[in-house]
Amino acid sequence: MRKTNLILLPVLLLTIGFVVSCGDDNEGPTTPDTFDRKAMLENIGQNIILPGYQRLQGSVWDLQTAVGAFVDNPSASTLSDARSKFNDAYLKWQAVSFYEIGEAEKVFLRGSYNTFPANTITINSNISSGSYNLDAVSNIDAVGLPTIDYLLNGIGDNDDDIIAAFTGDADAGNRGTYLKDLLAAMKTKIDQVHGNWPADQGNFIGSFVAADGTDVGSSLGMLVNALNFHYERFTRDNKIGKPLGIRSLGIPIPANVEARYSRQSIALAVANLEAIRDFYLGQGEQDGLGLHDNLLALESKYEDRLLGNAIKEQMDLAISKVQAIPEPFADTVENNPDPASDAYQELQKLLVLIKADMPSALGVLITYQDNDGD
Amino acid sequence: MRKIINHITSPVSIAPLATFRLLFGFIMLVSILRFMINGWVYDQYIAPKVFFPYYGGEWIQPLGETGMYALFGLMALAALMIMLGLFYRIFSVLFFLSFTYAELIDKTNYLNHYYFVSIVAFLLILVPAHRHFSLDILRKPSLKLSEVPAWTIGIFKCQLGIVYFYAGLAKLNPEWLFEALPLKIWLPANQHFPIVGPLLKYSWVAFAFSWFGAIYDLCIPFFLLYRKTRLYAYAFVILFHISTWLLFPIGMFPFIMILSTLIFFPASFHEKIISGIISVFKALSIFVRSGSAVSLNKYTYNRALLYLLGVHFVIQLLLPFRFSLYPGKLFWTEEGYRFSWRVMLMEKAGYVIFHIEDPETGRKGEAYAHDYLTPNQEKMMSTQPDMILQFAHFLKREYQLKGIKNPTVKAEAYVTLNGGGSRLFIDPNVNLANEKESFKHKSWILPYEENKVLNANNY
Repeated sequence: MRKTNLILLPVLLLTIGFVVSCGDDNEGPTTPDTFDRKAMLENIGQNIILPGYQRLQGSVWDLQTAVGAFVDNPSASTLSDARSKFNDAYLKWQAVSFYEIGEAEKVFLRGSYNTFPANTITINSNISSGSYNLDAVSNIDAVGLPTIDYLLNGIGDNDDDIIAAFTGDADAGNRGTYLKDLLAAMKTKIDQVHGNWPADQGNFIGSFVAADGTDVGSSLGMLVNALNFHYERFTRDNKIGKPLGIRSLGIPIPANVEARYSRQSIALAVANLEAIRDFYLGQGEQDGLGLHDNLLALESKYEDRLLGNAIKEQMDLAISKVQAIPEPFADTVENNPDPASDAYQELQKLLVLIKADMPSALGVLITYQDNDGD
Repeated sequence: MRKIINHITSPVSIAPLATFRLLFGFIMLVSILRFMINGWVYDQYIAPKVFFPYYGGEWIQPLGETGMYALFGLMALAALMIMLGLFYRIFSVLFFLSFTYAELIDKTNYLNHYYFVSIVAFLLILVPAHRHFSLDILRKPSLKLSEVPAWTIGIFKCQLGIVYFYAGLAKLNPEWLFEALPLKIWLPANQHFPIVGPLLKYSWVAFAFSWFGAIYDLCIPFFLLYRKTRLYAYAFVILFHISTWLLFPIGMFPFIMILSTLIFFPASFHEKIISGIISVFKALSIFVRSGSAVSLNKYTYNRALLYLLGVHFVIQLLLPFRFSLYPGKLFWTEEGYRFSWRVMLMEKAGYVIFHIEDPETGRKGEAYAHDYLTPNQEKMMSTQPDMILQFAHFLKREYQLKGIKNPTVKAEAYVTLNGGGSRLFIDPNVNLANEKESFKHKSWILPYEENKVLNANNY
């Protein structure tokens, strides 16, 4: 906001308010709770986003170490350790995936970390040739967690075959290098994204808390738009809808599930939804101000309830329905799709609430373009 | 009748018309350059894959990347030429055509102030606004006029009066007056402003703003017309529009109105503006020096022109009332909503799930707008039935291209109006692929009152 506005506006509004409020006391005094948007951003930044990146960074570092140990010395035990570190990193990723703003957006974190399904043809041709640029757009589905999933869990039919792919196979050396290169690229990105946030480093947190308006460039605007963008396309569509066949006239696409080879699609979807709920509630290391509190303070209504609570309840319901989908999801979509269809309906209802009702109540804008009507 | 004719054709000073032309050209030039610098030519006309033309205007299509930039370049040039008064006859027509063409490409971008600009541009074509303080009289001194018939200035006052008064009439609805909606939703979003920010969350402030806004719109044309109140009224014009500019993302509209309403001031005031401009920019004195002015001109008794204007103003007076020919709640159905000076009247948002079915196989799936539309297009489409219908027809063609001969397209749409909570918007059982656009009421829009539930699932 321009400096002059900050001086002009109060003068003008006070004048208008004064001129008009004379004799306008027919409305009983309403005293809405004061809601401190800055404090909410402070909480979301310090208590949720920053620790989220910190945890992901730690788990990526651990995974890098474990993958290095496995590649240097492929064995059942190093493989099992690498897998457990992989599962941990995938879970930690779910907690940060939906606030792709600032540096994360700049380095295209979500695209490079979790574009699935992995393209095994590209991956294998990269490995055979030994020459590749992991940052290239053409390699977007040959990097990140889905590719590691494939290399640690899907490159062979059983653990012995998988270990053999890193020892006896003609491409074994290249394959190990590829795996290490993937981790190095992921480490660079998360280091960069995480390093941009703390006050004593990139201090994105500073400008994040300062931008406390509701326009597109404000932090609240960016968070709400980023959340909806992620939730609609990635949580609802990619994790559940597309494998279920929602986008392909009912024909399921089991190969499109997330974490296809480690068979943890539903666990990851639940982790993502739970993280979204915590974010909404302002719940991090400790409970603080979140969008939920903001909506309650605005007293926004949804039918005869408060919108803030309606969203929370719908989140709880959607999570429980997704939890009820049997793993592995790739089998479920073909053999037992009903629980997934039920869950999908609840995810849809949640989307309406957070994409239509919530921004409307918060006064958040979705574009920079002029608007005189709505 | 004769009296009226005499009154509107009586000679008055051309000065207000000349400054109006200059200021309008100037603010248009600024608006168009701002539009281009903001990258909106790309965002609105090149990035989208789908457009929403107006009913009957489907032939108005975007012109491609080069074409669109050329169109906006022409528009900017025309605005500049209007400002300078150079080859005004040609460029006033070109400005009207290029601007209006751009606005008719996509309903998404409809703004009342664009509609206003188109109308003013049209009216400017009809008047000799270039025959004083312009480069045209330097070019051709015999063009110079000192007086013009009163109607050439009156039409702009009349048009501005209509804009304000109808905007005020539109505010006379129970939600605006007795619930302070949507300002009660919008104002608290600005609570980060210094000093007044904390006040904006109180509902009495929203009520004060609502009532002030309605009274302002209804009264301001009359206070501007009346000599004794004019100066105070203009102070309120500035106050009001600057406030709305600070609070809402309404772009250039406040400045267009602040400059346009100067036309209510007398000729002496406009002469002062002109001599003021000349004293600052000495070189501009060539704009007035040359030529010896005549006072009356051939426009005086051009009956055809007066009839045309008569028709224009009758349309202006009637068009905003066409909504009353449709059943249902106007803000909900938006049938007869546009082109009626309804500005900042409601907070509306929605989400649409399109259900596609192949009747031959019985296979069902869903389609979502975000795959095809820009975020702004999606937002606008989600709450406006005619756009939902257009998009359903687009999806029908898309699925036909995928090999489904006769796809069924049904829309499960949820809309929240003025914070009322999202509810079912249109009949989810109607196959929109078979529905035709027309000016008739769309019977598949569900009534606002009867739909209170979101959990109407499984369509």
